[in-house]
Amino acid sequence: MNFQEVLKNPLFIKYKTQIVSGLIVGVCLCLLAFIVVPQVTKTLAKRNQTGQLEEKVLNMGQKLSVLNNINIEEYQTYANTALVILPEDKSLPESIGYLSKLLVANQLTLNNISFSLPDNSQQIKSFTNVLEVQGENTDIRKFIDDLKSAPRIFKVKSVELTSNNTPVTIAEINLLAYFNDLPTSLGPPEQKIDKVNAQDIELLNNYKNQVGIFPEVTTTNEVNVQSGKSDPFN
Amino acid sequence: MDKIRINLLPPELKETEKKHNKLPILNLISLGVLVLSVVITAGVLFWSFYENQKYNNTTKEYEKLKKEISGKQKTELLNIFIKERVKNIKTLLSQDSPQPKLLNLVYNLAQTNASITQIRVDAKANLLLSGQSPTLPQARKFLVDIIDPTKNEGYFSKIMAEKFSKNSSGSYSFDLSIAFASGSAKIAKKNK
Repeated sequence: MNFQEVLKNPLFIKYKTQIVSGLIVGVCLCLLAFIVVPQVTKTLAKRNQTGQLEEKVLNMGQKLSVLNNINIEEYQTYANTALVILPEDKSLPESIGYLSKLLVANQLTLNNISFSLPDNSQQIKSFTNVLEVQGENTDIRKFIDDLKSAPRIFKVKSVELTSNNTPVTIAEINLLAYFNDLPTSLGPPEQKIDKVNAQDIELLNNYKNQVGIFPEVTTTNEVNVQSGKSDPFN
Repeated sequence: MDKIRINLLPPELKETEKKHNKLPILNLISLGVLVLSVVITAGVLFWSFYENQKYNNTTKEYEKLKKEISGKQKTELLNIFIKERVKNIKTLLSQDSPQPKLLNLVYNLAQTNASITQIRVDAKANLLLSGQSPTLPQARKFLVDIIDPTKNEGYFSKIMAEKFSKNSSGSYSFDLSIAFASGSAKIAKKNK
């Protein structure tokens, strides 16, 4: 039975309007079911993704603008200052150097110095410097007070002074020195950047200014490198 | 004279005619629905195409910015490093170490009344001290001062005399064990 015969079929002729209408409704339903609904679902999801991506792009644009405004040389100096205050490792030679200078400035004699193993349990790691010194009682106490002005952060953990009625006091001073690993990973590129602000710079500069024996940072051709340390980013 | 009207047409024909009149309306409605469906489908497809284009453009921009940011990796690392260091430095500077203060406080209280022969301030800032005074009133003055919250600045929560003796030379020796008042105890004491 071909199409022409179907058209001449009396049943078709009798119900052709209903059949055509039915076919039209069928086509409409097919369009809705197979094109409109899936496309709307898909497009809504795509629209959502685009929204999220646009937000990321906005953050990245802001981040890039912040990064473009950063003066690398200036920041390298801040990084070096921060590395002296809170080094990346135990930095024993520097530690001994600062303490020796303070001891000499306070006319104290260093009898012995020893170091404990680092305490890695905290986020900011630390180790104990055990100093056995001798000198006048007031000088020892002045030395302990002067530790605040050391380039590196030292905290007095415990202290024992013995004088036995002599002018010379023997002291055992346990000092905590701190260090902190360098950051190893960056966040996702769209992560907002918290730029170093004026307060941060002020803290670093104030610390540097209040310390009289802050080590000079030597400069090579390309990268500023802290004396005795490798550049943490190269 | 009244006219007589006679319908000689068969009644089926009238029914068929009625049906024929209704059918174009059904066809029109169907056609309208079809046109509407086609328009909706076309609209949806156009919208989908537009959203795809928008997504592709945003992705391109994202990739471009990503590349540019990765080129600034060193700068970003420097910034993160400084920020983190400053935060840690602030944390450390905010942690008070009372040991030096306590040491100076005890020596200031002793002054001329007592000489401290040995003093130990441990990690919890508790003190063990041995000292001597040339006379009993001076020893008494030192002990009274050290237990006076106004003079010890509320730093001591508990003071125990472990030894008090008179030496052959006539001076008086004492050993004291002093507990450091932690923050809350110190504040409570100050409020009193």
